[in-house]
Amino acid sequence: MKKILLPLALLLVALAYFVITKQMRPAPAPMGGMSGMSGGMSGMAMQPAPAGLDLARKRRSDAGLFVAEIAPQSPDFDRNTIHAWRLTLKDAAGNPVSGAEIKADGGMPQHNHGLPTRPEVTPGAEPGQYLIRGLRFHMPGWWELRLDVAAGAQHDSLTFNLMLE
Amino acid sequence: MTRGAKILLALALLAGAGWLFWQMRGPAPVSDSERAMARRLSLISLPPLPPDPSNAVADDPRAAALGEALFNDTGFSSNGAVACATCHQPDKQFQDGLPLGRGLGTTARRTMPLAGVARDAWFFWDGRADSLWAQALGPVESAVEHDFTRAEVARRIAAEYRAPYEALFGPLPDLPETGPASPLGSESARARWAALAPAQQQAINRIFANFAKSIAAYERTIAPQETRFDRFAAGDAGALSPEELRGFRLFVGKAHCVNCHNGPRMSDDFFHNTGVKSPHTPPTDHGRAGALARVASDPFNCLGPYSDAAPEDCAELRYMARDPAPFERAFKTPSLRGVAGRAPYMHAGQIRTLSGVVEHYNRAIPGPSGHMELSPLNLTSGEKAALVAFLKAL
Ligand code: HEC
Ligand code: HEC
Ligand SMILES: [Cu+2]
Repeated sequence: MKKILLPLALLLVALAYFVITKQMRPAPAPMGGMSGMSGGMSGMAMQPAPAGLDLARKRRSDAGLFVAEIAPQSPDFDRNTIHAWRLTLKDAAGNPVSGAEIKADGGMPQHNHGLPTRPEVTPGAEPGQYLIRGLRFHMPGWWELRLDVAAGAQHDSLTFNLMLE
Repeated sequence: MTRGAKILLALALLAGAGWLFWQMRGPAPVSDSERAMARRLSLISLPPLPPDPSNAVADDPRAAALGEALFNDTGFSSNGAVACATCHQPDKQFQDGLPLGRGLGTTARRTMPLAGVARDAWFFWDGRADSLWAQALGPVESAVEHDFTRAEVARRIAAEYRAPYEALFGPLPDLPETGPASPLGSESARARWAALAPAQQQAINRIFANFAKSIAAYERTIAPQETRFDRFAAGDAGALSPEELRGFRLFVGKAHCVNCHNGPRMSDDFFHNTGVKSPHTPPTDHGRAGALARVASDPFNCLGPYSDAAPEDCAELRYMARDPAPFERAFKTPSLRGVAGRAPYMHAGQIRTLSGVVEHYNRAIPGPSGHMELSPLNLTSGEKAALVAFLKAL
């Protein structure tokens, strides 16, 4: 009798473990970690972005020449419809930079694809103001928006991270 | 009994009870965030049909009535037997249930269903038309579909549809007796087209475009139908079985389906390479990559002379990504509404069943060319069955 106790116990533990893990698997925990944009939904559908991803909408360019800030033209924009973002460009001293040549590009690093559109950056009404037109983000998740800025002899780039639902 | 055996017996009973509990418990209740996600995939979230500035008669009921007649008229074909409705059958979700469409010949791709299609920005599997009316021109002059020509369309409109046409578009011009003539058709049709004066060509093109705009007005009335899933999203938790609910959770979670099948039509209206096999080696169909230059130079596009749109209304075309490389064998994400009722699946009907589709995503094997966007899902057989069950509730 005693001899079978140990194997029986092990068997029971194994069975319990198997049953519990099998039952737990189909209910995947929501994968979150994004800041809600249009809607304020939990992002259960998205791949989580890398921890500590900088989602700031205002940042210094890679070599520190410029400071750029972006904001969607309409706060409740539809991610998957062509729309525009406002861009404010300043130099390191905080003076607006007008007349810059700016190229916008980007994509989804986790999906290994680029932007679905070819946006254009055009000057806005105020000094240092621009409009990034023709953006469309067809999938939810982590997007990069890269700007290559050329103002006179100064060239620099910067990359914004966006978490979109 | 020894003490050890007693403890073991108690443990066994406990484990047994626990096991029974896991078996009998229902699925976890629907959380608020799941409900919100369901609503975003549901018709509840369907915005009003956006206007089509490129088509001045898009929302004119007279145009829709004329368009419905044109859609069903087999007279617009070389053998008098093919209409749009031959392949887009109203009682089959406006498709035909075949791997490839059959008109005068066999098409290279599968017939697409039409419910809610007017909400898209790009048409055909490769998006080579940028409006619903520009799309309707294609099949008419395709040798394997209607095998007709625009000059014959114009003459038939003048002969059979003069009154409703003129009420919408003004008086018809006098039309030359050309026979089959088109810049795209057979050699003889192209020769007859070349013999026409530019003004005559433009007059015919104009009628051809108006014919298509009427059909588009009709197609705009074909709306997606409410399904069990919409009732679930509206708050009726019992509308989905526990297995379907499990499938929903996979669809929006582990299986990442919602990355592309998003919004109330469950399509992002964009193009992806999902590794679908080609019926030909090497593949002859390059998907979106083969359509970019074509739509950009199409005289019937949003910026062309037959469009009613102002240039600033043509954002999709204007900002279209033009480098073909990333779009090799990328195809338009189909809506999943009603999907269980229209096998076979994919752009050339390559996959016969929904379980085949789920297995395709589960394995995620790259296709014959281009960069596939999927990665393997490692679903259990229970999970695969749940996903299939969910697809059937759409
Ligand atoms: C011989 C069968 C056949 C006929 C006839 C036919 N179609 Fe199609 N239809 C198809 C196929 C096949 C496709 C996909 C073709 C492709 O992607 O190259 C399609 C695609 C479409 C689409 C695109 C849907 C989407 O989601 O992008 C629309 C709209 C459409 N057809 C409308 C029409 C109209 C209007 C007519 C008549 C003028 C017509 N079709 C005649 C087979 C047919
Ligand atoms: C990367 C984008 C993407 C993802 C992720 C995706 N799909 Fe698709 N789906 C597509 C595209 C694109 C097609 C058409 C492909 C083709 O014909 O070549 C398609 C086709 C289908 C079809 C066939 C519909 C028809 O009418 O032919 C079904 C069903 C489907 N997907 C279900 C799913 C399910 C279930 C998942 C999750 C396991 C999923 N999809 C994930 C983009 C995607
Ligand atoms: Cu993506």
